[in-house]
Amino acid sequence: MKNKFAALTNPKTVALIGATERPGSVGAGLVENLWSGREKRRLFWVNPNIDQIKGATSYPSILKVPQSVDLAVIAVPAEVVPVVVNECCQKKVGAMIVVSAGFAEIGAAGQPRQDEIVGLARRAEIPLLGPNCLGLLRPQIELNASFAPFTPPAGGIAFISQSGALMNSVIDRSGLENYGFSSLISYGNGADISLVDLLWLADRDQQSKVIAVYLEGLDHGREFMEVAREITPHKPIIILKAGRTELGQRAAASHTASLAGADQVYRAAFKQSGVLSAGTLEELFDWAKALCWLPRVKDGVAILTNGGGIGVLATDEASDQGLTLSNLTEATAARLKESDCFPREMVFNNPLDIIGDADTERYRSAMEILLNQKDINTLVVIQTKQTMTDIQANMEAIVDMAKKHPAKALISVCLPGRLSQPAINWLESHHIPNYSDPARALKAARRLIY
Amino acid sequence: MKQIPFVQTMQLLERHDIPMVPSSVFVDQKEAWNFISKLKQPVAMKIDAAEVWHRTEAEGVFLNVSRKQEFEQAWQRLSSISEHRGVIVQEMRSGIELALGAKRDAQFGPVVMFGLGGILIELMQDVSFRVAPIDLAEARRMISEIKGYRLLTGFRGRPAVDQDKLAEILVNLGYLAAENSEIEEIDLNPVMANGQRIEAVDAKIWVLDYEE
Repeated sequence: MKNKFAALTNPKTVALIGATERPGSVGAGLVENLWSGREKRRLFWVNPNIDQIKGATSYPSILKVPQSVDLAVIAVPAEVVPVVVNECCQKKVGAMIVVSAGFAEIGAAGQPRQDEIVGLARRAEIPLLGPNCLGLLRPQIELNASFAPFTPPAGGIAFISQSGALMNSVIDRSGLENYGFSSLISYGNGADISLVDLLWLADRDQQSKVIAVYLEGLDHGREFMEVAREITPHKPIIILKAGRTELGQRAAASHTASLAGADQVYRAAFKQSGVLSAGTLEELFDWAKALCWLPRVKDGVAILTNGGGIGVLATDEASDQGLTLSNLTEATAARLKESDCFPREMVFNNPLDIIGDADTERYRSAMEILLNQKDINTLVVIQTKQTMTDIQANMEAIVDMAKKHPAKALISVCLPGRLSQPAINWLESHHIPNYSDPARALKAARRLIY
Repeated sequence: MKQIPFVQTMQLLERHDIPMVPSSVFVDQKEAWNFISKLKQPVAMKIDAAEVWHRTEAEGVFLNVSRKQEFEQAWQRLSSISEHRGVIVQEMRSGIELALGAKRDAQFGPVVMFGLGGILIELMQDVSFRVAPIDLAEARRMISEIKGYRLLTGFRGRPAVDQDKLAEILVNLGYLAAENSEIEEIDLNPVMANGQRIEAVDAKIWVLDYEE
């Protein structure tokens, strides 16, 4: 099947209608972001009130652009959008992004305008993203057709957001995180290109390992379930659904209807289609990071720690999450006893507490022995910073172990601090996730279980 | 929204293999008493009326009716309720109270619900949902998902609920909701479960509009 969205996701020529260099404007943000990918594609500026932008001609209309246009990005006042969309249809562009607001999101006043542009786009068979959206970014190919503050790093997370403002915050946040994105798409009112289309696109994108979605509402629930059911067996989908306290639209007669708030039904639908349901933004990306970097595994968890208390916290959360802590086999216990790097007072249990004075050799041996036990599929390695804890060296040992045991999931727990942050960044650059808290780590571990 | 007559609710449930406690609807007082006096066991008498959504709140339910005087009092009260279609006479049941239901969701269409019934449903809201129709495995997951699940497994000497049977009823309810697009909401509450016997004791079905 031909990808009818190719002009949207990998355009060779882009025209920005409403281009400007006026500081602080949406148009200027778009100019700068598109400009950053100027070596990958041809850019055309369209604005009848300006002669030149970035030293290049600004055309009075898209119809005057001397070449065919794959992607038209539209950032003009709402009243003018129908005229511009009509011109884009005449120009036979490959796809459109309507960034402008002032459509169905403002209610009855904007609905006819939205219907008009969707009608035009559909008659011309040109896919339209938006209106009222931030746009689309694909860091891998240096495509930033959005007014986001900057381009986040490339990576394996496909992020689809109904909200543009939230996507901006996620991009800002990504500057402090070590994960990256295959694509970021804000679809706003979703008037033409819908969530279902974007899931399908993210599924086809080889760069994307996991799909993370921020959702406010859906129009075609059954179609969504069908597509999600097809994707989730091979590519995880995590959804953060807003509006948990929202009630049903009309007064209910039955107990059933009064209890079946929209959120309950969404959650049921997610469950039935294999979609993971995150409760917070933090969970959305905690899980996305783990699913992006680690293999999916069978149940069977071991916890390795140099602090007893934090090991108990991890055990509690494992139990809350319904995870099984594997019993150490006789062979594993024997190997631990035989090894001369463990102190005599150590107890060989899961969680395995290798005591506060554990050095890297002790971590390394313990990891090796635990990972050699067949039914241990996930290993959570906890470090509390003690005088003798060499966090960087321990992180290196974790990376070595992950390479040696590629089918198993290694997860690190280390509180970020002045001493540990550089080591954490180094670890995550090798695609081993670190969490500041054992509860976050175990919640993420649960999502890896298939 | 209108509640369809109880007789039609009974027929719909029967057609979809959803068991209901033996029930009859009477409009004639004499016939009703003849029926009850031959049964030789106390019965429940309930109102069947289009506008009554909660029979108990409308003082439309009389339980453990066996003597003629009780019957006559109940009949008098029930026939005074406006827009009444008749009086429902049912055998009495005891057991664990469950609630099953369905509704049409704006985004996802027909949805089925399972939970503990009686007053617990409102107090605890311990229910699970699925988009219908569902298969047996999904129904089993839905049953085990509620917080009060242990109550169904023979808690403190009570008979365990036959979960295969219960799952089958949920599957049938899912098809009932999915195949009858005019139905807006269904409440089977309570459904009385006593070991292998699982029967709806009250059942209401709402449609957008209904011509008497």
